[in-house]
Amino acid sequence: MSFIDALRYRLRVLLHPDSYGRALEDEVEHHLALEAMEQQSRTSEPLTNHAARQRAVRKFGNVTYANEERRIASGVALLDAARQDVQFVFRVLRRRRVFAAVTVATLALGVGAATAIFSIADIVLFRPLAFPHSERLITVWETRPELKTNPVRAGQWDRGGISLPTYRDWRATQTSFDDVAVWDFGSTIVGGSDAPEELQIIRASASLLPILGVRPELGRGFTEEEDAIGGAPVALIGHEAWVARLGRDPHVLGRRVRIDSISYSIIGVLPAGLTLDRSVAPAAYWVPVGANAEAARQPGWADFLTMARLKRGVSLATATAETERFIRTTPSNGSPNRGVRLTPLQDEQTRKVRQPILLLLAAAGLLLLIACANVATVVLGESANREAELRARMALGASRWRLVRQLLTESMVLAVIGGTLGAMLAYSGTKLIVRFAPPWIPGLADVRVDARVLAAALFVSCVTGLVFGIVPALSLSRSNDASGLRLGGHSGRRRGRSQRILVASEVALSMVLLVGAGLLVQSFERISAVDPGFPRDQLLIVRLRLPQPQYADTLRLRALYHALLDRARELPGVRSIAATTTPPFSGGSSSSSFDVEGRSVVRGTHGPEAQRRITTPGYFATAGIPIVDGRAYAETDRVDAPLVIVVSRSLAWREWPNESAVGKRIKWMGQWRTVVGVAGDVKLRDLFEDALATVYAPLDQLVRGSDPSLVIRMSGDVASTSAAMRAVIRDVAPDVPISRIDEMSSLVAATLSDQRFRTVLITLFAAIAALLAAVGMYGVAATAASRRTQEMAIRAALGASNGSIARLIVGAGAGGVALGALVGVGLALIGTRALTPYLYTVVHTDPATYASVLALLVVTTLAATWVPARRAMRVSLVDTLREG
Amino acid sequence: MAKPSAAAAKSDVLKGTLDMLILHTLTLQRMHGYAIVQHIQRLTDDALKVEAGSLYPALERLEKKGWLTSRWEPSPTGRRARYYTITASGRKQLGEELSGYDRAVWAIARVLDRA
Repeated sequence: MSFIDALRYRLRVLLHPDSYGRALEDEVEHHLALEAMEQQSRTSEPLTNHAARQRAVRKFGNVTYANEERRIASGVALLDAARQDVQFVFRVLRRRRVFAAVTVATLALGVGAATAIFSIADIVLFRPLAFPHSERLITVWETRPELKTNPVRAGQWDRGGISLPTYRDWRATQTSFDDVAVWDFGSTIVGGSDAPEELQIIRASASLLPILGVRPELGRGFTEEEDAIGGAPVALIGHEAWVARLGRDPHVLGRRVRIDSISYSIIGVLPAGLTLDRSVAPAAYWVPVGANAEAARQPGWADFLTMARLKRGVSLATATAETERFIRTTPSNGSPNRGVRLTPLQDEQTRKVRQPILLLLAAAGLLLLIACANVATVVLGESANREAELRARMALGASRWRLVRQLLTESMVLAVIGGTLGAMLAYSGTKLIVRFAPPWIPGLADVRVDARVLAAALFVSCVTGLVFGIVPALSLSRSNDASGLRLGGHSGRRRGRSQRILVASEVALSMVLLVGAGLLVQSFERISAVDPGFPRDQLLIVRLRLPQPQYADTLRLRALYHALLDRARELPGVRSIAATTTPPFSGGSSSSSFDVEGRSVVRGTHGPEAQRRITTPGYFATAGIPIVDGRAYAETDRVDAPLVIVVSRSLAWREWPNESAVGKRIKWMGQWRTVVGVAGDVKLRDLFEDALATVYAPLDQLVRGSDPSLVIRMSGDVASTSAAMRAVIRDVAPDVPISRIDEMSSLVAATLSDQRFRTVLITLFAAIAALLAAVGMYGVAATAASRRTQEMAIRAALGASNGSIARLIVGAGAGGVALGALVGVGLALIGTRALTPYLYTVVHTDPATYASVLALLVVTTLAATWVPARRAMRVSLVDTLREG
Repeated sequence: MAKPSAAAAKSDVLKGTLDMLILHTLTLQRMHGYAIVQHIQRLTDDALKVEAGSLYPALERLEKKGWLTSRWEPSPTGRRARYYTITASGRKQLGEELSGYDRAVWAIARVLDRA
C-alpha cells in the first residue's frame, strides 16, 4: 500500500471502527468454520457442530488476544486509544461545563485579540512595499532648522521639499543613488466645463517609474524631454480611473483629458493599486513635472517630494553625507543652514502609525499573557477536584503515562477549540477594527487574517495547552503515595500557592491595562468637551474648487459668491449662509505676517504672523463666532470703502494688551487696514492646539488664498440641504465642481478619530482583562473553598460565624490579589508613561484613575469570591464527614 | 537495531521466519488465512503448526508494509472470506529474505561442521 492508501485505510478505520471490528470477526468466523469442518472430517465418530466448533476455537488459541495483536500490528490500536482519549475528554468536559466554557472562552479572547492585532500590525507595519527591493527606496527631505521657531510651520522643519533646478543639479552630480526623482501630489479639476470633477493628480519626473521598478500596463512612461517645463502635455491614467471613468476603453492611448484647463494626451495606463503613499488611494492621472507652464511660474510651486533608489553597497550614512554637502553648496539656492534627512520609504510610510500599533500590540500581548495565566489558574483549580479520581485510577492499574497522556489530550482539546474560536473572533475582529480605524493608517484595505497568523494563533494555543496541561500531569507523577487520596494533602497546598501567584500576576497585568484605559477615557472625554469657539452643530461646509484661469479675475469671483449666497439664502433649509477661505477643521491653514502701526520693524526680519481668513460679512453670525469688541464688517465695507479687518481676541491681546484693538491699524497683505472689531478665538485645525491669532478680511476688499467655501447654518437636515445646495451651484455656476460637502460636527469628530480608536480598543482589552482576572480570582477562591470544606464544616460546628468563614475564604485569595495590586500599581506607573503623547491634560500618574481602578479591583474581588464563600458557609458538617 | 533481550531476539527471528513462510506460500496462489495455515501444516506434516494468534497479526503487518494486498470475496462456504495476494514488492522482499535465510543456514552449517 502506498502512503496515501495507508492514510486512507487509517482514516476509514478511524471513522468506521465498527466495520473494522466486523471484518476481524468475519475473518475469524470463517477460519473457525473451516477448522470445525476439518475437525469433523478427521474424527471417526460423528461430532456435533457445537463440539466441532469448540475444538476449533481451542485450536485457534486466544481469539481476543489475536485480535488485539492485529489491531496493534495494523496501527489501529493507536488510533483507538486516541479516539478513546478524545471521547473521554468530551465526557469529562460535558460534566465540567463551566470549567470547559471558561477555559475555552478565555483562550478564545486572548488568542483572538492577539491574532487580530498582529494581523493588522503585520500588514501595516511589517509588510514590505509593493515595489521590487523596496528597502532601497529612500525619501530625501530638506531640513530647515530656522522653521522650528515658526508657530505654524514648526512641524514641517524636517520635511522640506526641493525645487526643480535643485533637482536637476542633484541628479547630475549625485553618486550614491541609482537615480533620483521628484514628485508631487494634489487635487485639481479634471474634465471640461461640463461635469468637472476634483481628482487626485500626481506630478512626477520621468525617472520616478523606473526607480520604483514599475512599468505601465499599457503604453509607456514619460521621457526625459517631457520633464522640461512646458514639455509635451502627456499624461498617464491610473488603472482605477481607467476602469471607472473610461470604462476600460481599449483605445485609451491617444485619448485626451482636460486637467486644469490644459488638454493632455493619454500615453499609458498605470498598473492597479499603484500608490506612493499607502494611506491614500491611487491617483487618477500622472502628469510630467513641468507640464503646466503657467503653474510653474507661481512662487509657491517649488516644493517637490523626492524618491531615490540607493545604490547597492552604498550605506545610508554615505548617501546622507553626500546629499548634505550638495544641499549646502549647490548654486541653486544652497544654504549652509540647510541639512538633509534620508528615510527609507517604508519607515516614512509607517512613521505616524508605528507608535500606536506597537502600543496596541503590547496591550494585546498583555491580554494573551493574562489569558494563559487565567487558564492555568482554572486548570489548577480543576485538578484539585480530579486528584482523587486520578489516584484511584492509578491504583486500579492505569499506567501513569496513560493518565498523563489523557490529561494532555484534555488540555490540547480545550486549547484547539479555544484557538479555533479565537481565530474566528480574530477574523471578525479584524474586519471591525479596520472599519472603525482612522483612515490614515496605511494599507488597511489589504488587512486580512492570513494563514501565517492563523497558524501562529493555533500554535500559541497548542503550546498553552501543553504547558498548562503539564501542570496537573506533573503533580500526578511527582508524588505517588496515598496521601494524595486524602483531601488537602501537600500537593493541595502547593497548588493553592501557585494559583495565588498566578492570580497576583493576572491582577498586576490587568491593572496596567485598566489604568491605561482609564487615562485614555478621561483624556478623550476632556478633549471632546473642548469648545472650538463656535457651535458646531447644524453647520454645513461646502468646499468648492474654482477652475482657473477663469476665476483669477476677482470681479468674476466676487460676483460668483454674491450670486451663490443670494440664491442660497432663499432655500428653506438654510438659516444663514456665508463664505470663508480655509474653514475650521478642514485641514487647511494659511498665514501671513503683518506690521503694526507705530512699531518699528527690524530690517530683514518678518513681523508677527497670523492666520488669514477672507470671508463674507455674514460669516461671524453664521458660524456663531462672537464679536467681543467693535463690529463685524458689513456689506458696506466694499472695495471702494476704507479697508477694514477683524482680528481674533488672542491677536488683540498679543499686540495691544492694555487697550482696545478697535481703531488700530496694521499693514497686512500689502496695505494698511483698520481694525473694526475683535472676534472670539476659534480653534482652527484640531481641538488640541491653542487658538491661533487670526486676521479676517472681507471678500469684497481682498481676494487671496484658497477658494472660499460656503458655510451654512442649517435649519433642516443634511441630505436635503446638501441636495438643494448642489442644485443651486449647478444652476449658478455649472463649471465649478464641488470638492466635498461635510457637516462640521463630523469634521471635528474626524480630528479625534485616532483618539477614539485608541481609547476604544484599549478599553475593550482592559474590560476583557478585568473579566479574566475576576474569573481567575473565582477559581482560586473556589479551589480553596473545596479543599477546605471539612475544615470549614468543623469550624462552623464549633461555633464560627458565617462572617468569619466567609472572611477566611475571601482572605485566602485576598493576599494574592493585594500583592498583585501593589505590583500592578508599580507596573502601571511605569507602563503608562508610554501613553503620555496621547493624553490630554491628564498626567499618567493621575491619582483619581489609580484610585478608581483599585476600587474596581476591590469590588471585583468581593464579587468573584462571593459565590465560593457562600458555598463554604452553607456546607454542613455531616455531609463533609460522610464524603471524606 | 540491537534488541536488548534474548526473548526479543528470538521473537524477531520467529517473526521473520513466519513472514517468509507466509510470503512464499502466497507465491503459489492467493489464499485466505485458514488455507495458509493448512498449507504449511500439510507440507511439514504437522511439524510446523502456525498459531492462528500469530498468523493474523503477521498478515496484518505484512499488508501494512505493502507486501500483501487483501480482498473480500465470497468463499466456497457461502460467507465472505478475506483473500491475500502477494505484491511485486512482496516478491522482492521474499527474495531478500530467502537469500538472507540461505546465508544464515550456510553459516550455521559451517559452524556445526567445524564442531
